[in-house]
Amino acid sequence: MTDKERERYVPVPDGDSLEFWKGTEHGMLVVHACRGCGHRQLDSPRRCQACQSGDLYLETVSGDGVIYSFTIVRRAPAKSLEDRVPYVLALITLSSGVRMVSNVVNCDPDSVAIGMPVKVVFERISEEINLPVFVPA
Amino acid sequence: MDRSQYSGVVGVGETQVGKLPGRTSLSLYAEAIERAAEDASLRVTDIDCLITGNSRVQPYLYHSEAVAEYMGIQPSRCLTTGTGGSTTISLVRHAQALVDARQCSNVIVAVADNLATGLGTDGTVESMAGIGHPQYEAPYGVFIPGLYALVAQRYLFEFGISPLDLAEVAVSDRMHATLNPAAQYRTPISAEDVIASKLISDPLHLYECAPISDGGCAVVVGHSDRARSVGKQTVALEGFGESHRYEHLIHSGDVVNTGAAESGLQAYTEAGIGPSEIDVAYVYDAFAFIQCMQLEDLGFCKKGEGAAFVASGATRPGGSLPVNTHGGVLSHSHAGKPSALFQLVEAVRQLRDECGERQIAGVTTALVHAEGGILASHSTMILRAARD
Repeated sequence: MTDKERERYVPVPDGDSLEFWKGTEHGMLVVHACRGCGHRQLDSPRRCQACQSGDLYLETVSGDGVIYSFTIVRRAPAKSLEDRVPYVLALITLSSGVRMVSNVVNCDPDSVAIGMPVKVVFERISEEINLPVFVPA
Repeated sequence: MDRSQYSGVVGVGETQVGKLPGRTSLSLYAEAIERAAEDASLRVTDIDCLITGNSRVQPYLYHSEAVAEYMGIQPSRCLTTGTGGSTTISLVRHAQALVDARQCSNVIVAVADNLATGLGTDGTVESMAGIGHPQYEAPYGVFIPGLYALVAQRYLFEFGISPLDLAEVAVSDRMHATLNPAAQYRTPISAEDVIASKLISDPLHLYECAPISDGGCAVVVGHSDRARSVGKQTVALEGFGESHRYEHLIHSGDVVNTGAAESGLQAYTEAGIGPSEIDVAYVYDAFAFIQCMQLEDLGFCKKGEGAAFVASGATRPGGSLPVNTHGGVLSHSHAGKPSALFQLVEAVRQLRDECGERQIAGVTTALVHAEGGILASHSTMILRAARD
């Protein structure tokens, strides 16, 4: 196996995600909130995805949430993930309504359930990226 | 509307499916196109628009032109698309619009690839490991079965569905495949076999996930008058609908209600019929559970009852609504993009009464439904047997 195949996927911050990743450096989840309708979104700083308002501001939201759905990944989808299986992939609804895909860590995968309260922690995966993941609350 | 002349599918063609060592993606494309043209009594040089879906194994920036060059033809229009399951069905409607606008006469929509021998299982899975939103999903070890599993788990949770009932989708597909000599997997299986196959990503077992195949198919969209003049039937495209709610699962909202409800309603409305008038259906099943959700949203049964509907035997050969008479994605083949078009090709063959042992008696109306992304995009097409 080459080093390249062993390499974990690391996101490269771009113009849209820069504030999110800057926030994670301080242990915070920073999203784009709409003054028009109160909607909060992760991925676009441009316009509100719910009401099209251009009046958005940066907001730090709570890292508390519940598991909307989850799966235990048993077959590694890439060589870089072989030493991680089984791992928990989850859809998490934060208390602010923001939906995230993440991992639930530091627990027995078989103990994870829909509706389980979780909270964010951060895992440093590279010099630039402090990745938000979740643990049971 | 002048009912003596209408546009529709005037030819279909398929390659073999399965593991086809020595075959390139380009050669599969060429074969599917040649067969579809021959089926429409056309020479390949008569094709005046070639729409292709590119290849994961042999990608080209100008893929359609590369296929045309390989075949030694120069269609006046070439279009390379990056469609997925659902939007490959949509291409057939776009092709029809070109014909109806008299921009083209013989439009070919073709999709083929050799994932099984060109990339292999590990290579294909790994090539899909980079999916998901590059900032907010990809860092978490997402892959296609894992993302679908997130939807499946919520679906099972909300409706208390039995995993054994869900497994019946794979069983029903396989029953159809045993009647289709062209299908890749033809050994009968039971729901217990499905549940006993290895867990890929809870709650999805191996037999509930699409295989990886080589193969391809093509359809010709043209005018009924020309088809009739050479003694060929035209299958009419009576209704069509689409829904595109999101691209990434972080935006999926309520995952258990799919856009199939919207695309289906549009298609039924245009065709002027309802689900009870569909004789045979082709409902995308890259994963077993998604067929249940889509059967519900297309109105064939109540919400939450899709698995019970399938477990009742309704979708099997001889059932009240045979589904995926070619064997579906799970048992016929999955060469990637071709899967959705294979559904349409089989629907056309059923409507033309060409299916031999697996022919459903008296079929006049078929529904084809495919999804793409992680249940993000949906396309529904209703086809009718020739009116002349």
